[in-house]
Amino acid sequence: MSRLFYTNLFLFICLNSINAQQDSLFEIGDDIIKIKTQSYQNTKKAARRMMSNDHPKFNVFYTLSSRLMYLYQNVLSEQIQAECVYAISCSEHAKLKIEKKGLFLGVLAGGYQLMNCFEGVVYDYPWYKINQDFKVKNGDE
Amino acid sequence: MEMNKLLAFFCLLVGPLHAQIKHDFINHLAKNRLQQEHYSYLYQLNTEKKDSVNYYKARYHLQYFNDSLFKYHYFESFSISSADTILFQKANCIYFTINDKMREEWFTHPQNMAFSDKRFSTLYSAAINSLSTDVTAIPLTLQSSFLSYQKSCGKKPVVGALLSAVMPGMGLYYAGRKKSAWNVLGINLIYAAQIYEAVHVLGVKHPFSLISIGIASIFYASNIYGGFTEVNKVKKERKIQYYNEVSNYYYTPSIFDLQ
Repeated sequence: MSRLFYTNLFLFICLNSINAQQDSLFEIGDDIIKIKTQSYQNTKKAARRMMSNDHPKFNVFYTLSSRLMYLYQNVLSEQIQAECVYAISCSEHAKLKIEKKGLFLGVLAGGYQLMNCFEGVVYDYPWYKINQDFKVKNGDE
Repeated sequence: MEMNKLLAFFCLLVGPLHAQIKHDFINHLAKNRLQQEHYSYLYQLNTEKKDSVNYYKARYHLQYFNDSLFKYHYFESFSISSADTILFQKANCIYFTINDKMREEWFTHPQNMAFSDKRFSTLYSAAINSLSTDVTAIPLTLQSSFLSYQKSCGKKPVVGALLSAVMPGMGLYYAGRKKSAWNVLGINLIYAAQIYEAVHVLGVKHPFSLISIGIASIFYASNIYGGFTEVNKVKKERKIQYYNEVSNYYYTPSIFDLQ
């Protein structure tokens, strides 16, 4: 009887102390989890703009491709979980280059970045070109 | 009579006190980032002691970086300012990391070029005439970044484009983007295999074959474009990297870091 009593008492004390520890750990853990997951909070991204069209004449191909790009950026891209390794995503980069250099060179620049959208590419760049999120700063210098 | 003596004594005492520039007070203002007070104090100072006033103004404009005013006051008080090693070093470090035009203006300024301390101007001219510079003239710590910059200087974008045309990714390897080169080669090989398979199985006129050929052509052309543009980009990046390393090498913690 006494042995059973002491065993139970021992277990009670042990379990209590374990529980107590776990509680305190969870309290600290909650804060850590809050801090760590802040950057992963699901915030709604602002809708991306349509490619600007400065051509004086209506161009079917340009208009169609700008609409398709808009559709991709605002609908399809949102469904893809993987993130681009560049600070300016491949589609956005292509869009900016098309606006700046024209359709032909813009598509080539976009295609080139798309081909290089792998994580290891980051190591090809000097440290000043990498931002805090470990992405390559690919804006115009 | 007694009153006049007292007044004369007071004037004699206060006059020189007012003329003095309070170094400790200026340091206090700088350390505590009291910008407005710092500015007000400096700009109410007697300009008869022009050199020292200009020196303090140069320090002020370096701390709250204002390029043109800093340069004006620095060169106006060059004999004093250049003797302040921390100010001289800090100014050079800052000019190494800002844009090309300002950097050039600073290092090619006649007073700076004639100055006895040639550490920074040597490193600057090494970057400008990189191909003809002897690497031993550069501090050991900076040699690796200088060598990688020097190596990229002799490369030509046209060669990069031609190499990419011969074999996808080779132009990028030549430019110095080794990981990108493998990616590009891999993707182009995959598309080449897909075209071969599609044409072989479905025929050239099949829509899938045509789409595959179209996509592969875009990627192939992009690879040539990349080979051409990346050579210059790598050159520029390595130059900036070299300047950054020079700036870090001579970095000294000082009052100017507070900004």
